[in-house]
Amino acid sequence: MVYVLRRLGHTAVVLLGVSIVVFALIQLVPGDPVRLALGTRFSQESYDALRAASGLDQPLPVQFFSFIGGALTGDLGVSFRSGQPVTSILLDRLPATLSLAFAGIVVAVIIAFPLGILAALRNGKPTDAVVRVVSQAGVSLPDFWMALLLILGLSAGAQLLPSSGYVPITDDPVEWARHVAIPAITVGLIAGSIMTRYVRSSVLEVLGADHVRTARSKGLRERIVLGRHVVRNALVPVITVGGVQLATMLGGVVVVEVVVGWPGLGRLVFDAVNQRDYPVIQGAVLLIAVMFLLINLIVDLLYARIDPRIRLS
Amino acid sequence: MTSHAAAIVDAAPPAPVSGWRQVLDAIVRRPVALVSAAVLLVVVLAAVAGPLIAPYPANAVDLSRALQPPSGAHWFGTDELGRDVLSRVVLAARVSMLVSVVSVTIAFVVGVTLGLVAGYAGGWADTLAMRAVDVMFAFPVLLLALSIVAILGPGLTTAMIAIGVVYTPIFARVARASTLSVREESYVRAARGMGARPLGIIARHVLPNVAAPLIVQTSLSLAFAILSEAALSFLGLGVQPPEPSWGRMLFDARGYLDQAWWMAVFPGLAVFVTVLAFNLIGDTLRDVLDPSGREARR
Amino acid sequence: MTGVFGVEGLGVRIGEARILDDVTWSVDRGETLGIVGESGSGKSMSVLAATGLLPAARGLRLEGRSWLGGDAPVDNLLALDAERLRRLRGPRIGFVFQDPATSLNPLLSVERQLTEGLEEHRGMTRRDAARRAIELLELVGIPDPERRLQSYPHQLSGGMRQRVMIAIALSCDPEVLVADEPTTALDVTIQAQILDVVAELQHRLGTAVVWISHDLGVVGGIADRIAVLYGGQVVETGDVRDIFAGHRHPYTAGLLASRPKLGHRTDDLAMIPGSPPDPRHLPSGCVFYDRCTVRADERCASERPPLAQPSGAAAGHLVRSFCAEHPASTSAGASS
Repeated sequence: MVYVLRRLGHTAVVLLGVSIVVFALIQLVPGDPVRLALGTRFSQESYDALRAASGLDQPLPVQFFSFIGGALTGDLGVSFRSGQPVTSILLDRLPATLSLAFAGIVVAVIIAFPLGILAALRNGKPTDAVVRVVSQAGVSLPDFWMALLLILGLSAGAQLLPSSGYVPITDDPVEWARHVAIPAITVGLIAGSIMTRYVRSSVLEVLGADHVRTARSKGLRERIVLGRHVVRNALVPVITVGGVQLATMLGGVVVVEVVVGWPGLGRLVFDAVNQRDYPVIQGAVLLIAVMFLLINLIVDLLYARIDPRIRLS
Repeated sequence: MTSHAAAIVDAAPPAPVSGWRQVLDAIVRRPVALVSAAVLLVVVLAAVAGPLIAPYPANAVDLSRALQPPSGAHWFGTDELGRDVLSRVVLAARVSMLVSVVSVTIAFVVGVTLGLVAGYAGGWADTLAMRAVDVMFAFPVLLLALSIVAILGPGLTTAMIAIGVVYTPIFARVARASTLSVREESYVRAARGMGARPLGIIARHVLPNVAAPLIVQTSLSLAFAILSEAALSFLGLGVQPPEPSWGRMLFDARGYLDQAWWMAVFPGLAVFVTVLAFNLIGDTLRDVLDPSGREARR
Repeated sequence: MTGVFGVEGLGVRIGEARILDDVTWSVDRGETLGIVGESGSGKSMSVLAATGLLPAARGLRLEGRSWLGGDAPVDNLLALDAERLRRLRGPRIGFVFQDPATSLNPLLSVERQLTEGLEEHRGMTRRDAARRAIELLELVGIPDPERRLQSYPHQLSGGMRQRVMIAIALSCDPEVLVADEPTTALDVTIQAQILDVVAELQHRLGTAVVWISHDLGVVGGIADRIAVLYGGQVVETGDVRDIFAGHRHPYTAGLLASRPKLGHRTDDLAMIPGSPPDPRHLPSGCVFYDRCTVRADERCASERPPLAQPSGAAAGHLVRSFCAEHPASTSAGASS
């Protein structure tokens, strides 16, 4: 289908741009990145070795193509700090990031859909106003403050939930749930607030649409009118913002991860920034951007499933 | 961003600016907006005249009075070094306002110029600019900021530049979308037909009509810039101590959650309330100036 | 009252705005009633209000009643609860709306939109309903119905979409078909086709048709009786020939005079100067007074004329005007 091909082409172009930006990261550092990274552990041999290993003595185009080539084959260089291959560091962190994102998006959807639909149905009434104010507050919340408050409330005093740490879901689902609760609620609450506004405005718009009037004029039950004619048609903008939120959870929740000690990709970038570990920064940022583009692509393909006008033009 | 989503975002039509009187009127009429405006005024006052208002200096260390709960002498309590939390909160407003205003100014100037030119010129210049914007949107906000900090090193200036760069694309998109809608209006085509120079047309005809959504976006971006600055400070990558900042205060509070809840609550409250106020004003502005406006990027 | 569907003394108020006032009309089996008026006259409102399709609004008040006749009469639809009223829509009354592009759900197939009503009201299975859907598409003259069933609205032309809407409206064999400006959004040639389709269906099925339009020309072609609305009131109603040739209300005269006629230059289009009244500030006298050029009676400005049969008029021809008794002045009436 033309649509799918077009989207793939667009994604490829943006991907190229992303790789250029990520590649440029290490090139733009004023000063010598290798020297900066080694810091006090500087020695001429380690400097030379590291410099050669990271290919920084090659001409620029060669560096770029080996960077791309490496990325495509899964070789993202080695960490300036530990010498470990970047790819394995990333893979190490990926499960934690994915499970947090999953939990977070579940929380967000549980909040956004019922509240948004409710507010749209009760438009103009007090319920609507309350939902709007609450979601506006949610959007304005600093995520690290929220996390701290939750720890304060649920962990420090009441000892209900652990304040930090990570247990892989494959090891112990219950403990995983207890540990992911605070970050997931934090992240999900804020994302949920953002999504609530979209759900509300989208449903509101569809409620006034002509085809809904037609559905009512056919004498259909209100339940069916809502389910078949309102919600589905309102989904498109909601899926978009949902995708953006999911992507954010995959790499943009650095602070929450730092507060609760969650070993995700965001925290990895933060540590790498502090350590001037450029290959790790590059690798992580590239991975996160790629995941984001992938999510967008999936979202677009979802549109095509939902909306025949896109599928069958 | 996806083409479909981009179409949704790009669809904002322009609305003529109703004039400052109408805006002020709308704010005064709505209690929510009025309270928000008052809050912002307080924050600006704190930012500008902080040292005159704050009861104690920011770094008056007094270990004998460390970790004291809120009291008559210290409305917000004291931190682990005996410093007055209220004073620090007040004085930290300066950093937040400074960073957000400067970074949003950068983002506005660069982004709007880009968007206007791209939207007006069209063709490959437009495509190129928009692909660049798409690339920037592929990175989560904080991640991009962190990357820039990684290059330039932590500090106040870096924070301003980083946040400015991160928020440039959204201004570009809003400006471009409005320009596209306006470009085909009859008065613009008339001006072109009469041979007016593009820059003049943009300045005189396009700009006033794209002002509305841009004003709304500015308010919203100011809100999120404060959040970003606080996050950077929290991570120790923004303004450096001993200069007080809300984010840093929250970071320091981590270790003392059991003993001093006030260290975590008040600085965070300051951020929350300021951001909320900007958001609510932005909503009001949108209602007045640009009813079909779209959501900002957080 | 004979007839299968009608309203009596119907009034609608939203806050201080009076949208409809004492509206009465009815339509009989196999008959077409044309409801005519400018935008804002309340013509669509009366059917929406009568069938419970008005969107909820603060300060909405309904007066009067709407009724169904035939074998299973319903005395007052407005007295029914929402659930009972819902069950009447579809099996007793079918609707066709103005813009088929937006009135059909873009995400659902033609089949789905046809079978929905059948499943709900006739309890049919999906399969049986699909078969009936094919019959319905044939009924409205859509070629290759099996394939069309799988189409989506955006793949159909405007005329076909409207035929689908008609098929949907008739799917549960209603006694009444309400068509709210069904051809306004269509090309003139397609318009003629749709008119034919409806006329033929009416002939075949005996359905009563309420055809709402601002275009007297269209309505004159298919209606048996006409009700003219202005400012939320019925100002004239009667047999189509009486309305066209023997109208008594100055507004009707103005409407007729403002139609473009073949052979006349269109730059001299007669218009009725002025605009319809604000529903929040209706005049205390005749609702048309401000724009009327006749004003033959001294009561016109101060008293509201009742809807009554003027002297010498045919039975069923009612006019709401004090000037109706002065036939000479009305035909010269409000024209250029």
